[in-house]
Amino acid sequence: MSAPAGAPLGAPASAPADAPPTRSSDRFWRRNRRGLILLPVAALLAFGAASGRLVQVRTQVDYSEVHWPDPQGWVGVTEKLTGQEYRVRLVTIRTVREVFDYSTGMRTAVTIPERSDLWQIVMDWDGPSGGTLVCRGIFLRDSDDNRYAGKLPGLLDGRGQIEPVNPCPTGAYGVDPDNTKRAASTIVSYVVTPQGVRPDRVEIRTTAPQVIAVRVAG
Amino acid sequence: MRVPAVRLNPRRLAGGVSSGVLLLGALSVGLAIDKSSDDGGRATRAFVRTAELGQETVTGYAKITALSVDGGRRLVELRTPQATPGLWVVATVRWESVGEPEYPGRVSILAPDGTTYVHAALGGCPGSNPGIPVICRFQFEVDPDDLPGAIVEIAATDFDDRWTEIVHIDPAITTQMVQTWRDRDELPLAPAEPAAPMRTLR
Repeated sequence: MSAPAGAPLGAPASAPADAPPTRSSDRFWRRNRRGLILLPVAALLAFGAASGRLVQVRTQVDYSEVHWPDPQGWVGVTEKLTGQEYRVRLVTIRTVREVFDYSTGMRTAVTIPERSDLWQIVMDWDGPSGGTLVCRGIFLRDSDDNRYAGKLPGLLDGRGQIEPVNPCPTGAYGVDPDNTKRAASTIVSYVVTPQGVRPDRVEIRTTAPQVIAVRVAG
Repeated sequence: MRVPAVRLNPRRLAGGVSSGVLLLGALSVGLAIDKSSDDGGRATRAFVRTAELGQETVTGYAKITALSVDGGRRLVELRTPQATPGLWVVATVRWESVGEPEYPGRVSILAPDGTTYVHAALGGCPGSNPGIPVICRFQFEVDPDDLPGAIVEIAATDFDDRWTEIVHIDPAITTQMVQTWRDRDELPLAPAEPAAPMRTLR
C-alpha cells in the first residue's frame, strides 16, 4: 500500500467509509510519528556526543555554600554531619616577616620567594566543647578572584611547619559559646601571595560543600 | 516514455520551510547558550598544545615551561642511587598556577610507538599559588630505544583528558643524546623548589 502523491507521510491511502472522523490531533501524531520516535533517540545521541562537555560543566560548577558574616563580624556554619554550630571571626589579616612555628613553638624568620608577601590570618573560633569541625584548608581570595592556598609544602624553606595541621579548632580547642575570647580558640594561618595582592576574603573549606567566607574589611 | 510532471504541494512546501526555520532556531538557541556560558577564559577545553623546550605555554590552569630533559643510568635522590636496566629520564618543568592553586595531575613520556611512561606527579610537584612559580622535576624509568622522538605530556588531571588542556613538549631527543645518557653514571634528582630567588624576611 502506498500513499497517494501529496499525502502526508504515514497517512492511509484511503479512509474506509464507515471510519469515524479523525481529529486534527490524531492526524498530527500519525503524520509525525517517525519524527517523534526519532526525537528521543537523537536527543540521547546528542547528549552522548557532548558527554565530555557535560562532565566539564559539572566539574566547573562550584557547589559550595558560602556563608557571610553578620554585622558583628561572626560567620556561622553548621557542621552537616553532627549538626553542631560554629562561629568564626576574622581578627586581623596583615603581611608579616616572621611566623609562629608550630613544630618548635617559637617565632622564626621565614624565607619566601622574591616579589611575594607572607600574609598572617588570625581568626577567633567559637564552637561547642568537644566539637570537631573538619577543615580542608584556608584560602585567601584577592580582588581579581585569584585563590591562594594556605598550605603548600616546599614553598617555604623547610624550617618548620608554619601551618597548623588543622586550621580549624579541634575538640581540644572547643570553648563555651559564651566565651569567645579564649586564646585557645584563636587560630593563626599563613598564606604566600605575589606582591601587590589585595585580599578580598578569607575562605575556610569545611565539610563539603560548605565554605566559610569572611570578607576582608576595607 | 512520459515523465510525470512534478507538482509542488503548497502544504508540503510550507511544512519543509517551517521545519528548516525550526531547525535554524534550535541551532541558534544552542549557540546562544554556548556563548552565554562563557566563563571568561577560565574554562579548560579539550585540546593539545605543543611547545618546545624553554617555550612557555599558557593553559587555563597554569603557565608551563619545560626547561630541560636529561638522562642517566642511576637516579640519585636523597643520596640513594636507583639503578635500572633501562634509563632514568628527568624532565624539569617550570609551573605557575593560574587563578587557583594547581598542580600537574599527570606527566608522561610518550614514545613514538605509543608506549606511555607515566610519572606519579602527586609527589613530584607540590604546585604553587597563582603568580608564584615553582620548578618541578619528574623522573621516568624508560626503555632507551623508546626515547628518540619521544615527547613529554603534561595534563592538569589524570582521569579525563576530554575536559582539560594537554601540553605536548618536544625535547628533540636524538639517538646521540640517548647514547650520552647511557654513558652517564649518575643523574641527580633535586626536589621541587620556588622558581624565584628566595629572600629571608627580617
